[in-house]
Amino acid sequence: MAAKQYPVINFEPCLSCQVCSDACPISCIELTLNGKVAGFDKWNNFFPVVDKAKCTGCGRCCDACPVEAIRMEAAS
Amino acid sequence: MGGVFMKSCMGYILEVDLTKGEIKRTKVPDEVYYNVLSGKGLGVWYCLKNIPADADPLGPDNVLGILSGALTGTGALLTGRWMLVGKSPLTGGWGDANCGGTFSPAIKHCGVDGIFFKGISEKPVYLYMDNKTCELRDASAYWGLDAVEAEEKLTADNYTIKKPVVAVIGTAGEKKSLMAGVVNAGGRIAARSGLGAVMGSKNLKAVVLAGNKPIPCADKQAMKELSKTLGAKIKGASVPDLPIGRLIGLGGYAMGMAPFNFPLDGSMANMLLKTWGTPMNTPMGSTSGDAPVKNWAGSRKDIPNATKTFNPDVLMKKEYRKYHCYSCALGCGSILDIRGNKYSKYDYTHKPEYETLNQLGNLLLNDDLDSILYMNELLNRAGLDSISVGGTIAYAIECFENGLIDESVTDGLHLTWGNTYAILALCQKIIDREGFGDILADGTRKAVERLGPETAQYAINVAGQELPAHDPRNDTSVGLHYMLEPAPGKHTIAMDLMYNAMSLCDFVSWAPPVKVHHKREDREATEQNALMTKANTCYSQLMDGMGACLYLEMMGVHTSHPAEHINAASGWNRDGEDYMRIGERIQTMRQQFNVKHGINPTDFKLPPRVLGFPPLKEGALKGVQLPNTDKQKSLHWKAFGWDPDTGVPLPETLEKLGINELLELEVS
Repeated sequence: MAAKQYPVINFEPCLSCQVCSDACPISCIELTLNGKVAGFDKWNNFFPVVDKAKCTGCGRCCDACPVEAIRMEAAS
Repeated sequence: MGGVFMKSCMGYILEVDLTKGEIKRTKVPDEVYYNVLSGKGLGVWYCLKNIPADADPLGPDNVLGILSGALTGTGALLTGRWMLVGKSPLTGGWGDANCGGTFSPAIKHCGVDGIFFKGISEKPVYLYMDNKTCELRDASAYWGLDAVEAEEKLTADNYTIKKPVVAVIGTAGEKKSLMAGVVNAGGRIAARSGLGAVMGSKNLKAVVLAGNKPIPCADKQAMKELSKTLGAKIKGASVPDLPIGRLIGLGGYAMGMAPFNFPLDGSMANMLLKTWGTPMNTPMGSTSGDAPVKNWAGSRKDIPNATKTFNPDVLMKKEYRKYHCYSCALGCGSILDIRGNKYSKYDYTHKPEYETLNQLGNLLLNDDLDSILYMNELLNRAGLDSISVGGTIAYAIECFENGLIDESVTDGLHLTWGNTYAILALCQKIIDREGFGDILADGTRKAVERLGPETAQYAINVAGQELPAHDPRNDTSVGLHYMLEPAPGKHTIAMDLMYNAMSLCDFVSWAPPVKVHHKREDREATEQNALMTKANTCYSQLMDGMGACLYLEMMGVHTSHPAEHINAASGWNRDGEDYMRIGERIQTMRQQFNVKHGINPTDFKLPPRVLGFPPLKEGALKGVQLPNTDKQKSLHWKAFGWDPDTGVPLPETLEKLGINELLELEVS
């Protein structure tokens, strides 16, 4: 059986556009304060954070991301 | 007609009869999408067919439509706006408003492109919808709550699998204030046309959506390539790391002194919007002449602190975080931390937009920023249009200053220019419909009926819709669109500056070329100028069919070409000319709605003061007068194939655009 995969977000192209959090069928992605990544943004933009405990690995966020900033990877 | 299915739409709508408590999911003919897209196009198609000519806007026969855009959810950037449509209680004619936030994709996730409500519920209800359930639920526990409280409570109470998204009326909508809108995302409002009062009149508190169906796109990879290019351009746009907010006012002086609008690349605005959002225009507008001051009769000299008070860096310092609407790469919004505000009991507010800052600031000569931030939050929570509320308070102040009303009418309020405490108190009274606030709560046109015709000279509206904060004496186009629009008083159609930025001559062959426009002088009424207003109008309607944001429009067709995006989403292969005909069709149907409902388009006139009669004595707009607007209006109608004298769409135009045929189609 293949290992369960989770979304990994590349903050470099990420636009903070909420498409991934909207696409998640169980709302396990949020753009929160914890997602603020130093070094990538000077505009106070917040970035998506995945609740891995809740995530089912369905890949809908990865499919929806307009700029291909999400890839699915097996949990380490 | 092509009869080609649009692959980015769900193909269905929800029809809700609130009187009977019946809900139907019906299929929309493919030809409708092909001819008017979704969003405002689908909305006008449905309302034109289904609202009887004699319908009372606040009665059971009016229809309130809430719609998503044709490109929403396809991966196209800046296409997350949702639309409200219906018969406006403010004007008695066509009404529409649109809004960002996260509500637009939620509609499609429930498997429909729009939801249409008719009838009146006996008791307060809200609509709940997810993949399987669709029902009206008791809203008595939420009635009386402000929009933010109600949204939080409805979200928590309905959260099972997917976190619900909520559009809700505040207390103003419940009280049927004709300035009320519909709110989502903690205080973003579809505010114009008074459609929040229509929702309130139906006893419909909210729409709660928790569906998670995927939204289709014909060529997802092609769309991603377009979005990656556009996203990188927007992400890379940046102003230097200097404290330059206070220099913006000086930039406004320079713009004010320049006699021309020059051709500009629209994407230049991205860096300004990313940094400051629309408030960047507040100091610039008051110095350049764009921002009306003292109820349109003053100039920057009447409010000497304006550039300092409205320096957008002051707002930036309060920024807790940026706010992006759904699918937006820009993020022109912010959440501000307003703890320590000397009036507010709230800790956070959405950053006020330029319009709000000007209508509650310069227009009232109020330079107390804390009071504006507090009123911004109060109005968001009440679900009121800050443009109309500012315009109505300005009207009341001028009536008071000129002795037409006194303290016996104003409940003891000493309503003078810049009297912050009186302005705050009046704002609260309007929200509560209490005493003098009840007289003003339906906007300036109703207030004139209540306070007497001698006050009409201070009521700055077109056909009942209060004017937004862009002065036609500075930019003729914006004023023309205020009165050419079937839902009048819209500032989002175009300005000369925007026409140049959009470069529509590269989209359709018939749009006049980009050129240097003379400012502050009456536009010569020519057919070329009429084609310019026509092109802007059609483009704007097309964007509203797509669900696109004004700032996507402003980036211009070189930065983001709508035909490429719609083709990738829909699976069609159509060109700019064809898509602009969609805009033409939507606009003609909006005008047709007004004609059907007995609205005379020739009654849409700018108030004399706004045309420079009498002229301003000081400031950037000193002496400017615009006597030619009626001639330009006539040429615009002619360019659309409408009667140049009456504004009524001609039979051959309806035939040419296939509108009669379209109106014969039915949902099934």
